[in-house]
Amino acid sequence: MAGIGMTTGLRALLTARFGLDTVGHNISNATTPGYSRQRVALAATHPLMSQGMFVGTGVEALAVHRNVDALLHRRILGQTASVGSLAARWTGMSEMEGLFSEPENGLGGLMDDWYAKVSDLSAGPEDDILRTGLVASGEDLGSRFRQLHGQIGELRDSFASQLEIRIGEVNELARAISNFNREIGKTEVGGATANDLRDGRDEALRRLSELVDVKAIEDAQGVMRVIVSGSLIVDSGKAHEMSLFKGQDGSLALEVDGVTGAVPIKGGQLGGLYELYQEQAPTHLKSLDAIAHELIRGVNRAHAIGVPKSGPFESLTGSNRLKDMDGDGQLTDELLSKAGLPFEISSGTLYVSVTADDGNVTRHALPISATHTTVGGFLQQLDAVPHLSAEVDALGRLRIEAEAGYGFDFSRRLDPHPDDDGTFGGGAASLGSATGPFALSDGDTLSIDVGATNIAVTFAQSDFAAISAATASELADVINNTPGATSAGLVAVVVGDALYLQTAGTGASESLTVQGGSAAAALGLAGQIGTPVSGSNASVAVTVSGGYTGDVNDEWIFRPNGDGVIGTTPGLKVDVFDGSGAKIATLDVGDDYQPGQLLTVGAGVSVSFGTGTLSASHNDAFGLDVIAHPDTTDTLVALGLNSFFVGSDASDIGVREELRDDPDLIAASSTGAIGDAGILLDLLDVQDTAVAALDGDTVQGRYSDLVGSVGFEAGVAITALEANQALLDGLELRREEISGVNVDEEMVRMMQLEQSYTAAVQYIQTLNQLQDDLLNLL
Amino acid sequence: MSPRVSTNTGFRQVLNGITFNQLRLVRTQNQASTGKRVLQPSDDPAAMSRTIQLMQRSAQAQRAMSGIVLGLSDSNLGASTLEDASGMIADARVLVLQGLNGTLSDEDREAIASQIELIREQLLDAANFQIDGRHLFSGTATDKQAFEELSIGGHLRAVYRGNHDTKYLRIGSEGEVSTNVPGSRVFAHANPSGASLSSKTGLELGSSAHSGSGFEHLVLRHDSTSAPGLAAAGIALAAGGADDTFLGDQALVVDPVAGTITLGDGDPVAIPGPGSAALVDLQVANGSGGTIHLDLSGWSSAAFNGTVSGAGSISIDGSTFEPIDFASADQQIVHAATGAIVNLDMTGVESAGEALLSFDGAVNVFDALQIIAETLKDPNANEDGLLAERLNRMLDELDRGHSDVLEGMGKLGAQSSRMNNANSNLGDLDVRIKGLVSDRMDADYSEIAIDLAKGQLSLQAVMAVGSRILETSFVRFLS
Repeated sequence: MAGIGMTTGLRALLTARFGLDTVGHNISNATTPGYSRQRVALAATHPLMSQGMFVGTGVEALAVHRNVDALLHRRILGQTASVGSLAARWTGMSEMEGLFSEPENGLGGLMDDWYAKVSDLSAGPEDDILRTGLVASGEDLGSRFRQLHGQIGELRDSFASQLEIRIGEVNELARAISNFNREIGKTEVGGATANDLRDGRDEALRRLSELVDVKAIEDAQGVMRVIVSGSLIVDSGKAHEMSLFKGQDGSLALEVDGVTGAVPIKGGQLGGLYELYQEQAPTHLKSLDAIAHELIRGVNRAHAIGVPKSGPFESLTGSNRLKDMDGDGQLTDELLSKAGLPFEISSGTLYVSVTADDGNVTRHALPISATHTTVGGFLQQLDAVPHLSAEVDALGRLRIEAEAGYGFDFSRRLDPHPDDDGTFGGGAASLGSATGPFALSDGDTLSIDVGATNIAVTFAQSDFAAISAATASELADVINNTPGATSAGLVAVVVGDALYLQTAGTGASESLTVQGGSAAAALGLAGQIGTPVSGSNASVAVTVSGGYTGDVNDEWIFRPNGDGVIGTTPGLKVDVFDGSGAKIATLDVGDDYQPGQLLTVGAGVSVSFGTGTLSASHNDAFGLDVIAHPDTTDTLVALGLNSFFVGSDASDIGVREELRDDPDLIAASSTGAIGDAGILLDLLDVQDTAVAALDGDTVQGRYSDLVGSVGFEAGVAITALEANQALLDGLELRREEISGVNVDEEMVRMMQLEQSYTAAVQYIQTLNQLQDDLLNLL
Repeated sequence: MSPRVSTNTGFRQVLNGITFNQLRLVRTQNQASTGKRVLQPSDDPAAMSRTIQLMQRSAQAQRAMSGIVLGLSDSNLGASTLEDASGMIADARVLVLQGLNGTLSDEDREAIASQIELIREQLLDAANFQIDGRHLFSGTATDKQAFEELSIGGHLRAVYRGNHDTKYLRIGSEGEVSTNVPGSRVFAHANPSGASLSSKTGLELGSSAHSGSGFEHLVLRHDSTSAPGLAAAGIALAAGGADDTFLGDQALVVDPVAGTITLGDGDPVAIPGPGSAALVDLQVANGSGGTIHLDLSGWSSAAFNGTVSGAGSISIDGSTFEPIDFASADQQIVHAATGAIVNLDMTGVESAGEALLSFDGAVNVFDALQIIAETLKDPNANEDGLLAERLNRMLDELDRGHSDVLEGMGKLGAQSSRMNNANSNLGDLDVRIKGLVSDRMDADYSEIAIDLAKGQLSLQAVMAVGSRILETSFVRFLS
């Protein structure tokens, strides 16, 4: 009887002590992160049978429980991963936003400043100070682009470095968890729960979920397996290492030891950083590059067709390099449109104007095909232009040179004296054919008398691409190459689509007669057979002035409507036809016309005629090239000829070096006169031009979109972060409710246990007294 | 589970509260010190994007305004120079009218001519006005002097070396204005209406069209005389005809009865008596003043009624002469240097001499003044009665030039006022845009003040309440 009592008392004491220890543990760990309060579970011990009755034997501590809600813990893990990802995204985007530093010192302001300089220069294009200012502003703009490009690149690299660091942390935590697994396994073999170890493991898991989205599954043996995107990183006693693999193209992939292939990264800081590295940063970088690319293209397109202050070029080198794409050591066989140039070339025509020192201008049309023109072919076309030569230098840049006494440019300027061949009232005897193409047959002949000499021309099928549709230029080639033709003084030229037979000499004594030939009828010369055509002592001086304001490239043909003397014959008129054959103007040069007076043709073009004789029956005519777009192919932009900006995107945009050394090379003039600012006005239009490659945005518009979207993403990130943080806080609060220690509560519990202990001591004392009393009896 | 509060919860709440309110205060402080509501794009992305667009519009307007400042200075300079030029031409006109006065002496006319030459020089300087090497009236070829003075055939002329293009200035959405007028338009605007010939030689203009500008001086020269049949009457050509100035075929009538010799349509000249010294070299003139010198010392007193022919040549540049084709009503003469082509009717030419050919409507003001000065200085012009004719013709050209100058002034004035209007419109636009930007971006200080007060209050409340909660602990009550 006494035995039971003592044991009961002892049990009570020990249990109370046990409880107090736990209270003490709770109080000590009140602020420990991840600690869940512990409770001792008490139960009455088995009763013993004594004298036919069950007598209680006291209290025992069954176990120490942690108060946790596993479901809540899981939700917390998930929410932590979301917050981690958003936090990383917010930090990254706000750093990116900081790079743009709009609206004060950003790229937008510098672009506006460059346009301001263009506008200022347009008011005084001769001014050297304003020219230097424009170059300096362009350099600032270029350098800011490059700087921004570099900074975004560096930021992107920093995301990758942070990723590596975080992955190291993940591996550490995974190792820690796997250690915990082992310890817990060892400790719980006896059946008791390793509360503090479990707390520790849970905390490690929570820190892990900050870094990456994880799924944690505990098995019956107490081993927590951790899965990241379907791959195990913690498995019973082992942790699998994560590593970062950097591909050739800079892409990153996550790999887990023991798993083949890349593991998708989701959630947590890793997920946020990965998205920043892989998506946001490259997208914005690409946008920036596209903006720079289109700016360069638009500006150079306008600038290339201008004339510098120093006048037409004697020598010009492109700034972009041609590349040997097929690696055969030869550049000339590369297609011009596929020779590694940074801008696309399309099919069309390039017009080159060659100016002699005496002011005479000749214009040459070079057809370029995106699918057929090779580098070698283009060089040949340039070489074929009289007084020009072209080559590719050692660095792969195209170089064009003019002979001494000549200069060239690609401008819109009108040829001031378009009747170079004298087919319009000129001094030579001149007879024009009908307009081609002509239906000839193989072996057709033409017999022409020049003075006293007869030239017999034969047309063979091999001389033509298609003899039934012979062109005037093919016919002219045959005639000019007929033996004896040149020495007799016969010249064949082409105006529009018509063939002109002329004497080489001028004067009233020159004479030309078509004597016959089977080709005469097809050429519309049948009516002239046997009739001599004479030259004249005076030739009509045709002067063109003004600037073409039309939108399309065209060739206008001027024809008299009859035979007569300019300024004298009543009713004499000159009709002007456009390229489609439609009449666009009629100029009165009859007896009311004073030779030398300017007549308006239209679209900004005026013409004046000097005295002389015109003949419609001899098909007198001349052609005038009116050019709105001297380069419809963008070849000049692609090769970097007469460019303002060099480079192809934000990483290498800059101002052409020659402009820095000599601002006179800024090609502001569209007509060649140094006070003309036509090109600068065109440049001002670039900022408002919608660009197809930017989906119809303007360059400025796309830039403000870019800044807007960077800001928008940052704004969205911070809003989402705050919202999710609030949610997480709520969940944590919930956790505190369940697992948190309330010191006051522990105090009360402590008092309760203290009383129990004191009472147990009293009980034991009482039992002792009883024992003593009993012994005293003996 | 009944709700319970853990100790940590209390601490956490207080901490959160303090952090949140402090952040708010910091943000408000930033706004106050920068004056901006939106500090970076993420603060209000929509506002930022719109702001960037507005700033671009504002920059465009400012660009246009600064361009206008430059353009206005050129335009005003041009207008004031033209005003000076107009005054000069008016002064010259007064002098020309004085010169037309028939009672003036040669010296008086010389003095007037000198003054006119001076005005011409001043006018040329005005037309060639340049600033920093940039010529105002050369069109867009501003590196070239507008008018170059050339001496051709001994006569000064002013030739335009600029071009005819206009300089344009973009003034934002208001379009384009021109900031200059080319010199060819105000000082040398050609409105050709044919040619005029002023001469006493019987030379006329042909029927074919002429081409050229300004003026040309034609010189007709006597080369040789042929008088078949004269020797039969005992009359010889004095000095072999070297001093003769008549041209063409003329009738020579020697009338012994009346004692006169008549050449062509001239007045009969009395034959001096035998033994007179004048008999050796008698000068007989025709109606145009062309003379034949006859040696009558061997005259047989017989009558003579025949034709004498004077061959001659004509030159337009003063150095190359070509023979006159008296049968041609349309002989073409070309000036190699100036490119002028004239067609002349030689059939009525009677005398050697000079002719002034002017291309009506195509004489620039400088050349007109030059011709006026030369004509005033030329004694022959006065004697031949050609002074008034030439001066009046040139006066017409001068008046035409004057109205061109005034028209140019008007044009520049109109463009200036357009620029001024655009400037004030753009200024208004810029102010409006800046207002819109400010609405979006700038901080409202009264809002900031309230935010600051609220934030401070919040922070203090959190701290006060928090301290109360945290202070109260059971531990304190257990003694």
